[in-house]
Amino acid sequence: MKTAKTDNKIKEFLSDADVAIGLKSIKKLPAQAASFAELPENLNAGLAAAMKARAYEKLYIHQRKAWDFAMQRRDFVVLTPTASGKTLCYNLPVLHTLMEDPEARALYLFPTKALSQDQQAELNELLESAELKFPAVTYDGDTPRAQRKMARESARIVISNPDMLHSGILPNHTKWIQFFAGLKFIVIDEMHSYRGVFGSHVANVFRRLLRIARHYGSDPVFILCSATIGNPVELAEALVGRKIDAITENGAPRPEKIIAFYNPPLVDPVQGIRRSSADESMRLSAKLLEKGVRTILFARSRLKVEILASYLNKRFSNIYNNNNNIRVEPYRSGLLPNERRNIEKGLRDGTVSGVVSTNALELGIDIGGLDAAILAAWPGSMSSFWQQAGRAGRRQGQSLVVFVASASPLDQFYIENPERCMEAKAESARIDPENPYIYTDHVKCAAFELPFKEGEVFGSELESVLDFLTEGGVLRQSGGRWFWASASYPAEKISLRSASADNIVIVDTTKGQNSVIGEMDIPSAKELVFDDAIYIHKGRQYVVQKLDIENRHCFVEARETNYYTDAVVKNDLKLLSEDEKPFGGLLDLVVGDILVRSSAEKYKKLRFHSNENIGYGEIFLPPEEMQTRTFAIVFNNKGQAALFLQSLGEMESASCLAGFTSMLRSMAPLELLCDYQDLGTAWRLRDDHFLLPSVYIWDRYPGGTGLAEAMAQKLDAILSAAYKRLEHCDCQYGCPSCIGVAEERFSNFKDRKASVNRLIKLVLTDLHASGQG
Amino acid sequence: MGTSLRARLERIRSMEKQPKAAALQTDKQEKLSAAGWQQTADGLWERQDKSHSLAAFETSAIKLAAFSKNLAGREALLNNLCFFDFETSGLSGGSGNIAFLAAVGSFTNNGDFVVRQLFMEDYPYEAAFLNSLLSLLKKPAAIVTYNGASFDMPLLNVRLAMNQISPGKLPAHIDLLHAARRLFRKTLGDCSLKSLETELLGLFRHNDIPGSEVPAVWFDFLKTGNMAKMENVFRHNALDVMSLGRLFVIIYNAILGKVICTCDEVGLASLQNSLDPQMAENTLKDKLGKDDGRAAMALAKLYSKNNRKTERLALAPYYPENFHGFYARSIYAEKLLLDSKASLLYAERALGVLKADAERFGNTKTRSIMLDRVRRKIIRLKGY
Ligand SMILES: [Zn+2]
Repeated sequence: MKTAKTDNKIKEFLSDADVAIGLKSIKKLPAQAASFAELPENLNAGLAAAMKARAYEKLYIHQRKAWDFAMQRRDFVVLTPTASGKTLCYNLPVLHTLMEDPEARALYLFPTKALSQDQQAELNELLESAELKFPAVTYDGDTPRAQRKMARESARIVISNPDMLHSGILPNHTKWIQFFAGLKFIVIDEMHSYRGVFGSHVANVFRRLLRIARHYGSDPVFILCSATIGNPVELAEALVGRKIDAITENGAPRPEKIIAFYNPPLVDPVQGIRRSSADESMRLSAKLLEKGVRTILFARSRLKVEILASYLNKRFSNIYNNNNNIRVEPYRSGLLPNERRNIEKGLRDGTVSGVVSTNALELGIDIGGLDAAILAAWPGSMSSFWQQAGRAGRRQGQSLVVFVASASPLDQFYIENPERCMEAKAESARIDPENPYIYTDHVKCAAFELPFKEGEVFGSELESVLDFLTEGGVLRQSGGRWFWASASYPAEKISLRSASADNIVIVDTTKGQNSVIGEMDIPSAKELVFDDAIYIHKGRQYVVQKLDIENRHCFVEARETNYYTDAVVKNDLKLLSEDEKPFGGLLDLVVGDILVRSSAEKYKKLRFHSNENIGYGEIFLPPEEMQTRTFAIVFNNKGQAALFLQSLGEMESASCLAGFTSMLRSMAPLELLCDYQDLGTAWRLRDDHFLLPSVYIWDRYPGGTGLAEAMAQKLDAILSAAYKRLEHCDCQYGCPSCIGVAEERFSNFKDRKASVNRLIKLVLTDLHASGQG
Repeated sequence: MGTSLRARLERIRSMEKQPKAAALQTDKQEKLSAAGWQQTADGLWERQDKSHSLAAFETSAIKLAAFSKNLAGREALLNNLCFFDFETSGLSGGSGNIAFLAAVGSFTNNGDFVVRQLFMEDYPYEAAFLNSLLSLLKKPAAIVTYNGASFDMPLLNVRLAMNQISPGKLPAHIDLLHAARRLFRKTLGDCSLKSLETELLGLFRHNDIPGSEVPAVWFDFLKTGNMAKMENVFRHNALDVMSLGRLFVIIYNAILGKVICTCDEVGLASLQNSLDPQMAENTLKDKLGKDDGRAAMALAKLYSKNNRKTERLALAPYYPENFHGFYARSIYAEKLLLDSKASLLYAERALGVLKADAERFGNTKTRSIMLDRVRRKIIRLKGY
């Protein structure tokens, strides 16, 4: 009875005194029985036989519903937790259709190459057992030339990713005529990963895809699969631009899952300093592994993964105990395919007992079920949390998830409000396909693929963009059509995944070598790798010799230092438009375009560990300019919040606004499904534009990705959470776990926590009084 | 989105200081007529240029196998071939790259060379342009291009597909680059049409426009009707097919051995081999002992194909001085000269080279097999 044994071990672990000290709450997800539906009667006989041969006598209800929708040729999205048999949701109707119609084709898109390869292996297995001779071919950057031609000409299922579709397939659609003419299904797996900038690009790639499909006379059905997010239908509809049905019920069985919330003990209660979540996670993982509980530990960075795995292995290699047969592997992106495969295989067959992973294992790669998952710090979003938690859990028996909080305000918020996790009220994923930069880029690509005709529909403002591009000379309008009129290949210069295709390359010149060790976008480079800055890579320190922006190079040299550098960044803001005033009243809330000019003119040298300031240096770089979308709170003298600010002295009022802004930024990801890094903030005691105290929070992607608009809608929820966080924080006067570190000039105000707390409360009061509850 | 994208784009543009294109539209039609073009359909123009061919005119049927093994046994008269070249709006592939100008050249019975050029005045006339071009390309027995296998012909197919025109059956295609590379890669290095022109035809083009500047000139013409630079493009295109025609004749005669030019004889023999193996054999035999051993290697290949073992063995002294050369000499000494002492000497030199190679380039599987073989041979030879 292996399962009973594991259940006992989990119980033992939770009652261990060393563990119990940090356990704040324990929640249970009850077991759920499977609910089945019959195999469809009209299922192709060969496929039905293959299904039965693989012991699929029945379908889960969600698989059956997917079949029904697909046969009615309705576009739909399936919400699927890990290990719920989602691939059958699309493989069954697709293979059936391909068998019944020899001209039919299907396109499978995955966000990463690794996932495409996994999917192809799984698909081939099914095809073999059904004795189907359909070529299912992976077509991506790694596909050899000879196989590419085969994929174009004879593949019935093409497995690829949006990047390849964008830069390889669509611009060369005349080589794919048969494929596009027969295209019946487009399968989009891991839909939740298409959000933010990436999702905004991908939505435009789908517009182009549908346009080419229409050109060749096909009207494919979309089948989308997503992990839990707050707005699957909204995201799916925004991505493909059509009405989408949702399948949310899940018929797969689920054993009981225990979710424990662990807060590392306080070391310094006054400053609110806790033991590190990484160390604590490692300690807890070791305890579980020693008991023989197969465990996955999630860490936030590649570097942490390497360090934690090596610590664990060192610990287990001690010859004086009998733990030396416990093997832990690091798993992260950047591993070679066969290294990755070996780990996956080891996890499935049990030769690897544990794994330390970045979110690379979040996506649907099959590693079988593990007994426990430990999350070192909040993984950044609710859907990531549940994806990682889903890695623990097998067919039967209990599984355990331990969330180990860091000191950040968001982590501490979840420790105090575990029900926010359990309600599975996941964040909404947002995209903005009409981001003017992204949209314009894809209009270019689309015009390259096929000239635009008058009256054609493509996004919301096609004609404006066509005119704009025609004036710029990239398009030529002639005879009622717009033609690509440039010698370039536009897709080549447009990357779906980062702000700009031309990143700075970081080159290590230590001892005369010239090896590339990293890459960084230009705005970040100006703030992080200026001349004489300390750049930290894989735990080593490098001094920047020269940042050469023109040639996109940054030369560094390894050197041991006892300090790191921190640029003092000044943001000049210029509000360009006030497009939306969603509320107004006791506070002015504004959404609009903004010009952000960031300049770093000096930097601080801070001693490692103590963070003591040991000197300054100068930075000589031109400022970075960006137009984007912003949200602004303007304290317009009518509300109580504004009156409160006025009642404080100038300096204290500034200190209070700074703390308020810091809390706003750190709690915003709670509702926005974005990263802390995606937002920029500034506060002004007397703003140049409004001439009033104001707080700005803007989208750090040029042109915006919908974050500013969402911020306006979610302000109430974000501030309520911030208020709660402050109330519960163990510190006395404010700490990094709530309002952040105080600037030196505010050191006179000892109790910043109280004033920030009051400001948040009054802003909420003003909002509610204006009827915006 | 509550704000007009147009307004936002305006702001972005003013920040990027994107220059507004000058929209100076002048009368293109007048200018084209003045430059000798005739409008044959709406937006479609044609021009003919006749020049006396400087190349020796070839009256007998041309054996197309000289240019491609796939055309074995096919023949055509010189005046039944066409020479074809595109000018395009971009240098990349993809469906947004178009061809706006084509030249199709051919020889007449009296040895003149006629170039017909087709030009589309603007994008909407592409279908007419392609249909006209197709009718020109379908007439001859074969189409000759330079680098057409990877550029002009695939591009033609893309453009036809974009305009939903079926190509029907096109004549055989000969890419002269293939033969040119065989002949001149070793001697010229760069096998571009331009360097062949210089080396073989002694031709220098004055004020020729570089291919990379062609797209910009076409876009400028579209916007402003600027003909001055466009005329450079027209001339460039016509010169390309004229040179192509003349080079074709020279290269063909070189392959037949009728014209002597500095080229790589091993490459020459490989082309001759698909016409007449005896010719190839003679070419290689002439070269024996006069080169670094490549001719001997090529000849050995030819002999082993025809099972001429003894002749093959006798080539050993001409081999290059590498492992294979020494090893072959060792076998030659043992089997043909019956001189085991010399054989041992060569086997030991072969071993020395092989060891040095393994040290420098790493020991591969083939190397270790050969190492083993030579060692055993040495032991055997010493045992005499
Ligand atoms: Zn605190």
